[in-house]
Amino acid sequence: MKILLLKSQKFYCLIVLLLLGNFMYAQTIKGQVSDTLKNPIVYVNVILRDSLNKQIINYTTTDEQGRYEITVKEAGEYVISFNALSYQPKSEKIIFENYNLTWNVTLQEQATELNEVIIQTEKAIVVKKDTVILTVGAFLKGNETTVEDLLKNLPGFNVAADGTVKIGNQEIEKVMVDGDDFFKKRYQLLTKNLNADLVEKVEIYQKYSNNRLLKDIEESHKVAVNLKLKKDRKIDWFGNASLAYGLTTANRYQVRANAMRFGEVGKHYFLTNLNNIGESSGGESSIYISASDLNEVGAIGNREMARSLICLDAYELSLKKSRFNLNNQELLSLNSIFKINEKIKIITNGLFNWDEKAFVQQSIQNYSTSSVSFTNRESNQVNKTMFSGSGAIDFDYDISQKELLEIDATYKRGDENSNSQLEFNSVPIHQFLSDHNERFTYKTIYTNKLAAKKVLALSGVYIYEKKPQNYTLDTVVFGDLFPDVDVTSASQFSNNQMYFTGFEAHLLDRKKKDDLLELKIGFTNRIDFLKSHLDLIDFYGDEVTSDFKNDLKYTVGKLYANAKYKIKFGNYALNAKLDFNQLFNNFESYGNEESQSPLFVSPSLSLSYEINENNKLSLSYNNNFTNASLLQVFDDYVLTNNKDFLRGGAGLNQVNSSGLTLGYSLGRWTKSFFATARVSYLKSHDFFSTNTIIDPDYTLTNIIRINDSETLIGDVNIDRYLKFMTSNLKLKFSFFKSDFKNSVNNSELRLVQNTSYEYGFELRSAFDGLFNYNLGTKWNSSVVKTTSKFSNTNNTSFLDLNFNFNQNFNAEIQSERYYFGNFNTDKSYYFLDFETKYKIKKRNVTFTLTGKNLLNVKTFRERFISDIGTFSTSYRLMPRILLLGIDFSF
Amino acid sequence: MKNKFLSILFGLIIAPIFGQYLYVEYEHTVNVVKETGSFKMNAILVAEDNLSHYTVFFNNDKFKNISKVVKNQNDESSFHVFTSVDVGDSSTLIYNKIDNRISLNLLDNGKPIVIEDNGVKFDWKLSDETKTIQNFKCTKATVDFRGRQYIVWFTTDIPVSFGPWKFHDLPGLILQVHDVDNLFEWSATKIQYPIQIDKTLDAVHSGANFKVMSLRDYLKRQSEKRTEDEKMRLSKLPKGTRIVESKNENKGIELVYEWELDEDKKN
Repeated sequence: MKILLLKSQKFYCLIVLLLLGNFMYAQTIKGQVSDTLKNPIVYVNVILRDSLNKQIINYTTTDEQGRYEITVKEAGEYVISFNALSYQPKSEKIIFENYNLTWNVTLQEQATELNEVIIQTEKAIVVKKDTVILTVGAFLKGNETTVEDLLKNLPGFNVAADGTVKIGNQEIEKVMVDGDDFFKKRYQLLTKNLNADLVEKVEIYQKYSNNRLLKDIEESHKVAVNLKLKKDRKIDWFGNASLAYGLTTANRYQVRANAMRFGEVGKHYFLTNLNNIGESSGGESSIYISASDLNEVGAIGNREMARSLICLDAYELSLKKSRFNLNNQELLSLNSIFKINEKIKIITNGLFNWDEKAFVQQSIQNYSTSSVSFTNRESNQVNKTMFSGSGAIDFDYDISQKELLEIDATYKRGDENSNSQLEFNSVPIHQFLSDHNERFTYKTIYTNKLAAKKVLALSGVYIYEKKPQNYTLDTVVFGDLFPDVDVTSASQFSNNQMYFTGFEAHLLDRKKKDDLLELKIGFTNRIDFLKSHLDLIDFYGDEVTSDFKNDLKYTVGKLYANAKYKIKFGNYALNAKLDFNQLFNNFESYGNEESQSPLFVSPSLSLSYEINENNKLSLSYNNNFTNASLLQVFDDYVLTNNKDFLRGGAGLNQVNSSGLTLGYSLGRWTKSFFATARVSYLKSHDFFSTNTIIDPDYTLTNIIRINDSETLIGDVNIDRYLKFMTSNLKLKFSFFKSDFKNSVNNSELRLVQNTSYEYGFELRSAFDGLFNYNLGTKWNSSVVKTTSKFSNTNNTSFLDLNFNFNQNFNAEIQSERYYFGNFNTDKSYYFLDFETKYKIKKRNVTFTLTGKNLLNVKTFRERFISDIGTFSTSYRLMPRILLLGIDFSF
Repeated sequence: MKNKFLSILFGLIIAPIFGQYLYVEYEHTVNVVKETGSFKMNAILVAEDNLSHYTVFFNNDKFKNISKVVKNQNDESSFHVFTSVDVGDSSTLIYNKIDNRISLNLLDNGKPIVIEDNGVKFDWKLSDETKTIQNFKCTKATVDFRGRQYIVWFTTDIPVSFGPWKFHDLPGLILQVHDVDNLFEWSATKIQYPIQIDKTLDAVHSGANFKVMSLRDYLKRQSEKRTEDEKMRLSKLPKGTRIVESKNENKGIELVYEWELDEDKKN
């Protein structure tokens, strides 16, 4: 019976144990810790470890009375230890069973002394100076498809709607893949296309320098990003495509596709873009837009180019380009990077661009000067076919830790054929222009780090370019210029051929306290050949070569040295620069030769003063000498369109100008009030002007060099955030005034005064949720005053509405109004566009619906004024387009 | 009996003047990418039985001066403890173990304030992983705290339950902390015991006039201000830029708070 009871008790216990689990044993050990004098010790660490004294099971500290209580879940053997500063630690083995245990301890006092300096051997994160490495896995949210999405999730990154990536407020310089740079500033191509799950790490380089040896020495605010790919996911081809097709209009389309393959030795990126909806794909110009900053290391020769004299379709409108760009473009870009070995890398780029463009315009030109007054009427349709192809090869050689060699070679050629049906004062003229261009550039940059903060860069460059043009007119209106010939038609051949060679040594020396000294010494030599001849065809079909011909060689040699010093003291920063230029000009034409070797010294100085956080003042002064270019020196007339002739003839000359600029800013961009004001005064001690003979049937323009012209420019911009309407108000005011002189029909030099004002405002909201707006208006009024006076008053207004229905569905409506106050009729033009996007996240597919020029405005007319008359021109626009599109990855 | 009396006397007279304090220097690294990039700050932890002062220095010279004085502790000089609301150069976080109170001082719009963050609980998970940092045997512990996962190395060899920043309540001094994303990191660089200071550690911030507010109220105010600032910035974007989505993301140490989670649950 007793046994049975025991058994049932045990059974009962077991059930309770099973039901309650470990709670059954949630018993405690408690006790008191005291010193040898029986005084309680407070805040002693009490740690319960397993029997092997390894794993900490539980821990607590003693209270104000030296008492502790520690919970134990399971019976068994434990080690309990008591630790307190200035006491000898004590560890004891205890066997804990199913009851509360009391365990009092006495700790021996012990003089404890710690004096440890911890040297860090292993670091959790790699933080090099100015470099941050982020492991991507930690930031993935699961919704990323492209690198762009990934960057959005990384701390500190901002990705704008157009794909511009910013870190803080600084736009990044480039995005590299495993240290290789395919696209330089055009990294959007990469970030918008590369799949995020290929990326393992993102490295961010701050104060980035394109040349690693210039790091921390040159003045850099650049930021660059490097994507480190996962080792196992690099081999396959991958990419994406987007297609859009016109719904209402026949055969309007846009196709974009990308394909990539990233191997260990070779990396390839192919891209194509086909469209006839007026979009430009960025492929029109050369592959790499060279650094516009000519002060950069290796920038020598970046702006040297040959000139073409005739362009039948050059015009700039106040409209955005896609409205009047009647195109049919096909672009293909092929880029590869080959790693030959650890030190040698070869980058190749190929770009092919085909385009067909159409320009249709009509203009009325009212000439009015003291000597003549007449009106010309013109209507013109130009059809142009274009092809350009270019190939570039970069060779990068890391010679050693302190030496770098970079060799770039680029070859580009293109052909353009323009066919124009012109009607000039009811005379039909058929013009044909055939353009050809070829350019070869070769550049070597060798960089050597002489000391920790001192770098010497040696650059050498060779450029060859030619731009021959063949121009024919089946009817000529300028026959009066050639009384001896009965001219019916004409043709002109012209060609500018340019050879540029240059060498430069550039020393950058970063001093203590961060002052920077830059020294540059170099020699450049540019040789231009210009050949042109105008051939006239008379009534009988005989060809007569006119006197309007050039055959010349213009050589400009330049030996230069400049020194620049940047220093900062307190709230002041000073930049001082001194330029020495020794020129060697030589001009040869039909056996005549002229030479000149002038020396110029021009200083410039800029000072900025930060009065306090909210007030900044800057002042700069500079002096410039500009040498006459080919266009200012060639001898005889060249036809630049159906009736206009141009002649240089200013001789070997230089012009000198000085400028003074004062700037002030109040408040800060990040605060609710921010204002900037700037005034510049430019004095041209001498300048190139014109003497023009104007006749209804032709103009003859001569370049002349005369003295004294002045320009005054001022602008004020104010930003004020209006909290009550969650909107920002922008106020803009600008002012321009220039006085110069020219001559018309061999008159005395006459004063031309240009004055213009522009003022306007913009208001932009930042509401939460569905709706936002952006609106603005701008008035522009200008006056040109000579013997006569012309004026123009225009207004442009816009209203954009934005709707975000949800994260995957948004829409935008844009409207614009252009108003020309000086027209009698058709003063206003209205435009309306819209775009909507719907994204299916799961499938990585986005649908778009785009409407352009919904009001179907067919032509656009603008008015221009000058010192010789007023002109009104109307252009044909891209008609209404409604496009349905789809984007997807493969 | 006599001994005991003597020791009490000794305690009464000497202890308030020459308390025995633990002194730890930490290096705090922040890798959150902003205009400033990653940056390092130095911090000092001074602790006694139930109280710790963790001071972060924005001014490195000031840190160096104190560090130098502590090194030459044999000379008579002692250093000032940063209890007063002396802000701009440094910020002190006081952790009071008795009632689990944390308070910290900083500049809010140029004015000193003290923020209270009381009742903070760390739900430590102890691991059996160990490593040796210098001569200290360290045990690994992990914790999820306010939206980030931290990996912590502490040593039972130094039996206090303090650490850098708000970290506390482990059976030993915390020598290293980093979060799994490696954005925030603390590492002890120097440990000294005992050191002597000229007065006891203050249990609360004292000194100049300052406003005291709870962390929750402070954050609410900050968030309102931030949202307004963000709107201001967005409204200054140029024409043509579209705002598809704008979120005010918290990239700080603390991402979520207990009370926010509670509110989420209620919803």
